[in-house]
Amino acid sequence: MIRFILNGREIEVEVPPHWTLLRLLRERLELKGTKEGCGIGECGACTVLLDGMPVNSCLVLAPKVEGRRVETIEGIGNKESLHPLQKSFIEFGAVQCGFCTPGVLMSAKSLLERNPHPTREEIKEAISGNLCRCTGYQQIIEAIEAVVNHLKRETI
Amino acid sequence: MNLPQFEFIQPRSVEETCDLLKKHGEEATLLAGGTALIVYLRYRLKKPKVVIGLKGLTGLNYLSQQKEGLTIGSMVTLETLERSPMIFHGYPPLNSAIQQIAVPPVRNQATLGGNICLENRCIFYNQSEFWRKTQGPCLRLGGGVCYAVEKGKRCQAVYSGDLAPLLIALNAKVKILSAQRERTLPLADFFTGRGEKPNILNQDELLTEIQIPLTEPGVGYAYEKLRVREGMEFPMAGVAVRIKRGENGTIEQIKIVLGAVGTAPIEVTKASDLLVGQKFDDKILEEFSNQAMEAARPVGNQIMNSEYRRKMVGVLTKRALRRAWAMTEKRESS
Repeated sequence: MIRFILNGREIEVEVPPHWTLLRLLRERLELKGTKEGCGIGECGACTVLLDGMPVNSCLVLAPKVEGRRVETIEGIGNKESLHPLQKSFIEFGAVQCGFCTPGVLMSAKSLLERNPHPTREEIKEAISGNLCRCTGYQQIIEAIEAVVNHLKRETI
Repeated sequence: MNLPQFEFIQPRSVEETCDLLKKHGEEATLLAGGTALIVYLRYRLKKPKVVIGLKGLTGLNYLSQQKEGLTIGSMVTLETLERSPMIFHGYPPLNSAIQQIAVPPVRNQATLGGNICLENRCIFYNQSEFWRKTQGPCLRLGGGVCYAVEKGKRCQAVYSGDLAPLLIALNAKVKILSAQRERTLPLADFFTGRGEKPNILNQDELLTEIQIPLTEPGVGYAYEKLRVREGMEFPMAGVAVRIKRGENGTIEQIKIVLGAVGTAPIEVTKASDLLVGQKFDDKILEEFSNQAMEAARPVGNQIMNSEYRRKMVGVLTKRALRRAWAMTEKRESS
């Protein structure tokens, strides 16, 4: 039995020791927004936030999240109220096939929480662990930049 | 592909860990950040009965600046090192080398100890069980054939850690602990040069600390990495150099260490023979570069051609030396 905070709510769940966090999320908790791509930590489709930092959930053993904070794509917004990043991704056409999107959004969210005014280079570095085979990344970077510029205006 | 079943134990102290290692012997494997081990489990390259998770060893999560230099606990994550002002200001080339490892989500988990203890890699070995079935077991997996080197009789899997070459160039030491004893040795002596067993750690031992001595005035150092793309990539070749400026702009000391072009980091020992009051100029750069290329031992077991990797060792050596030399100039004037 492990206890941790998932998308802001404390949960307790039984999980075998050899399960990864990804498998726990998808197969036990039915949170299928987090995708399994390569399964070996190279593609970033399974990126979730662990204590606010992006990690590949396919490389994290489930028992390791005991007492920690996990955030998945299901926690950042929903159809009725999208996260500003999600809105921006739609606006800029940063979603094509959509398989990498949840992972990219988690990396981007973590970046903006730690650094609300990143440079273009910092954005690129932050999403460098997320492979996208459709967009060529430009739209993704522009979508994140638009949110950054919006945040800048708000703080001025 | 799911992971095989195993028992997962998370000890709270180094002593407890050593006892567990002693008790379970060959059946146990250590899990630090997990970014390498989980892949080995998934590929069925390792089938431990017991996995010992080290995250609870908070006593190995420290970074401190002493009179003699930096001491770093082996469980410090690469991300922590990357963000450390102590390293950013005190050891800038180390900071830049860390940033070149994998990608942020991996660095958030991966540890310094784990990076140093990486298993050697080979394109005929680091593959899924299904892929490997098509060719039968290689030398390292108990078969009689090496797929990388024709008629090869020893495993030539490549040591692909990015940090060890630079840390060796900086004369770093490592502390190793077991239930019975503690030993500290130069990182250069940590590696065996055997593809299937790259370091000297015994089954019951744990790497606990990395010690990096202070760099003297007049010293510059750098790391250059060859890779296919800018992120998420093991080195196809790596060159670390440390150079000391003497009187009148001569080179007083030099150390060149190659990574990812052999079964262990390779020190280019002949490089220092070339010095005797040598000026830093294009001619001596060419000679160092040739010595480095000669010392490299790339074989055809990576996605890049081995002769290309050897030539690039020469190029990277020059680049690294120029950067390191520029650093000695900056330091002298400050």
